[in-house]
Amino acid sequence: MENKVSKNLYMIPYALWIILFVIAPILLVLYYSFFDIEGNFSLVNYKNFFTPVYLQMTLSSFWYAFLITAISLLVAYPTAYLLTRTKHKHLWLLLIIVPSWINLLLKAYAFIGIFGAYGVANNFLEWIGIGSRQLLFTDFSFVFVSVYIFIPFMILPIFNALDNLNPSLLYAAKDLGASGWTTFRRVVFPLTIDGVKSGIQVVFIPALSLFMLTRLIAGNRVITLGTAIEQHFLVTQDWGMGSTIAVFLILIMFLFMGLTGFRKRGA
Amino acid sequence: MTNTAIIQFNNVTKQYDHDAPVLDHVSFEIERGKFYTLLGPSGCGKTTILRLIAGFTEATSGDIYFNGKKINHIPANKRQVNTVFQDYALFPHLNVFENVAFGLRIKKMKKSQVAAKVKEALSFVNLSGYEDREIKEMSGGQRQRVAIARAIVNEPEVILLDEPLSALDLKLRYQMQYELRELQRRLGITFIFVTHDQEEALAMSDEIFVINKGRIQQSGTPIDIYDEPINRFVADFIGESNIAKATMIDDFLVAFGGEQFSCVDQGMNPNEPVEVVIRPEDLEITSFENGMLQVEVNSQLFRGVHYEITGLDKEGNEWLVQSTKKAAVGDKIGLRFDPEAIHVMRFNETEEDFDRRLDSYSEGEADGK
Amino acid sequence: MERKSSFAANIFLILIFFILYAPIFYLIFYSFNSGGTMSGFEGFTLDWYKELLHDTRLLIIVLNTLVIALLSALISTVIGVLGAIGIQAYKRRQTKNTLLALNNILVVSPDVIIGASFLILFTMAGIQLGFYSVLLSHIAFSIPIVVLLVLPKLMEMSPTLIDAARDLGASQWNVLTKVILPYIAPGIFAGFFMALTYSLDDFAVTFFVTGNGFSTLSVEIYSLARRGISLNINALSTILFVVTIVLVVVYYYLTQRSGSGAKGVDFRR
Repeated sequence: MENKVSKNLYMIPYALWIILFVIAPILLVLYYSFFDIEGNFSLVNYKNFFTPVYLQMTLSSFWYAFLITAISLLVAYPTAYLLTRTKHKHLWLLLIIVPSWINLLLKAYAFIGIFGAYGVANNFLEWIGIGSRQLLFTDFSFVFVSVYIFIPFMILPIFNALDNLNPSLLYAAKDLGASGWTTFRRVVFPLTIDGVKSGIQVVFIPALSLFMLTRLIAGNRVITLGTAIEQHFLVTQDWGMGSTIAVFLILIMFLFMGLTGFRKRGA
Repeated sequence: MTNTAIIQFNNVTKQYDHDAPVLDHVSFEIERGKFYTLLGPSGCGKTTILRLIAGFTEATSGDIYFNGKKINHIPANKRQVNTVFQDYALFPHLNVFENVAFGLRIKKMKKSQVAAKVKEALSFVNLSGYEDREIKEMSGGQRQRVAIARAIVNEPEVILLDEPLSALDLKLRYQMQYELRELQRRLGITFIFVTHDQEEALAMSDEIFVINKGRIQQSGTPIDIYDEPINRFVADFIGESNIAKATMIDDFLVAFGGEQFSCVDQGMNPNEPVEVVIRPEDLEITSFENGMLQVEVNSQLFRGVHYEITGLDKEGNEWLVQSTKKAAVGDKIGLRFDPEAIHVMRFNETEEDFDRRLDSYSEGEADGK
Repeated sequence: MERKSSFAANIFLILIFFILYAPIFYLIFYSFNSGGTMSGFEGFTLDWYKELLHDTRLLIIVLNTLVIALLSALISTVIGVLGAIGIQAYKRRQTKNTLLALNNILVVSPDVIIGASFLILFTMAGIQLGFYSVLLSHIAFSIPIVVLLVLPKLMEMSPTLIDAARDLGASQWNVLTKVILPYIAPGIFAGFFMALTYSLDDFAVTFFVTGNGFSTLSVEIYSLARRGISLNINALSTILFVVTIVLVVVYYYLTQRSGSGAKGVDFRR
């Protein structure tokens, strides 16, 4: 009895938070998606979303998110694997994480300098004889900087999965005659797939919704779903259309979470 | 007043949702100052009894009395019992001193008094000088003692011990059995000890309650329970037993293994189907011809002190013998035993009927003399 | 064979670390450039740092950012800890899972969605955009992080500890203050710390819900960066880098002491 009362007391602020800041915002976004720019109830936003302009934008947003996730994974898996084999692996892991603690904006800003017309990247290209070229405001720089930013988040869950792997399983596989590659393909990778999944989760959805990088690094050459939402909310003030795109982004998010299953990051 | 029961259960039932009851109309009394053991396999309900006494859970029906007062709805923190938990439940964020002092601090006892009492409790469990140690620096046996000190420092009238020795290795467990028994004698307070280890129960207790499937099967002193098990479950659970189907031909005459034997049991119906128990240590190996029961040896293990030999009689009953003599598989040997070694059990006899029958023939013996 | 592969492995790791740290040191290096650009180092100067220290507008923004971070971390830690205890107290698995799913929505939601939906919320509720809307948002997105960091500690706690405390006479309040809170303290610290860094690092949500008169460091850097390169930002990032390193060391020390290793750092976006 006593227990129940105090439990409910604990839950009041938390329950209020769930109602006001989790449920209400989603419902409000849904509600707003049914109003056009004049504030009339209509389905025009949904109709617009299925026009080639928006569909193409969605598709390209997906394409970039896919590229960023795939490249991050290709770099992160071997890195995580090699990290688990170092001495003081947790210290090295921490050093991988530290850059992610630096404000995102500052890192983006650093790349403005590095990829700038007279930046160090062009100096390097000059030096190896390729010659300087436009790097900033290209999709290459957008993908590169995005991967740079997401890499630590991809490494972490994979590292933890690899680290939790019982080493005697590897000996068992060897003992049963598996080669290094077979051991990896048949034992290590299947057992760390959960780490890979959570890595993909923490990269893919944010990669769909990046908007700051598209402006600073891609110079509006890349428009993601996130950029479109920001544009509609803060520039054109068309909250209805912005909400509609947000509704689709939320749907994609739930779908994606359903497919990969929610996991604590790093679990 | 000191002779009255300190704890009394009256038809107590504990049931979760619609599952089978964990405790099924259990009634018993616990007397002051004795060492009680609740003995049974896991899931039999023994820990539930402990939790009901401690107040961690409430009975579905029935009454629980403590010192004559009904305590069904009194919360755990208001009860004069303390528990030693199976995992010790020592607070990892507090050191040894603070763990033991926890209950006293809650009572807002004076600092000097707390220090004195904790010191005394720790010396009681031979842990003087360990006050400032962290829990994680203590070994399993030491943690066990801290847990005991934490319980006794509050001077409860009853201490509940929930399988406290199960996490210790064999040697330490034997040592702690002596220490616990000794501690209970010195303190003179009631101990209620839960275990699934029959040896532990026999070695330590004044009284044992054997529990199975939410019911008390038999209660009594270790010797009573070992020598006069009421049914197959008790016979099987306590010690090693040879149990065979038998027929009670008449008073003092029982048939099993294809032979008839004289025994000391009586008061049953003629030709009543029963079961007999003979403990392995009561069987003696002899030559085939001299045996009261003839068996063919089918296995033999060397156990150090003795051989453990099993053999089959002509009805197919298996007999386990502990003997210093050797035999070989396939040998035909004879077994001898005294009439007193045969213990007859009736099917579905309640504890009350069993006691009444035993009483009736101990009176008969008295008349005879 | 072994040796060769480990050589290649080392090269690979060195390259990764180089790429991860190069931009940061690039920024720091040019913060001492008297030339005024991030290319062509002309001479050593501390002018940008001096200029930074005299920029009262920026200092006020730094102060704002810190106040928001500390307040939001504090409040979200209190609410999050209570929530975690509440969730843990529900016995039904279904209820627990539902609550956890709701809890995690804000963790997995993209910042834009959080920002846009909160913007609608504050507008509908008539809350003026500025300090309070930013504070409320930061509290809101930090609460689930705190819950996720505190809950494992609560789950790892043996229920017999609570029984033992009750058995020794502790009231419900005693159990909370003398057993549960001290036990989960490492989780609470980790939660507070994580909420702090989330708040300090946030750009997107703040960008949506802040008004004209109020800005945080991230938003300010964004608007400066959009205008182009200014070595003030480099000087600022050097200072922030040093502060971050100090915080990391403190955090590493805290988590190492509580025995959870570097696992606590994994909730960052």
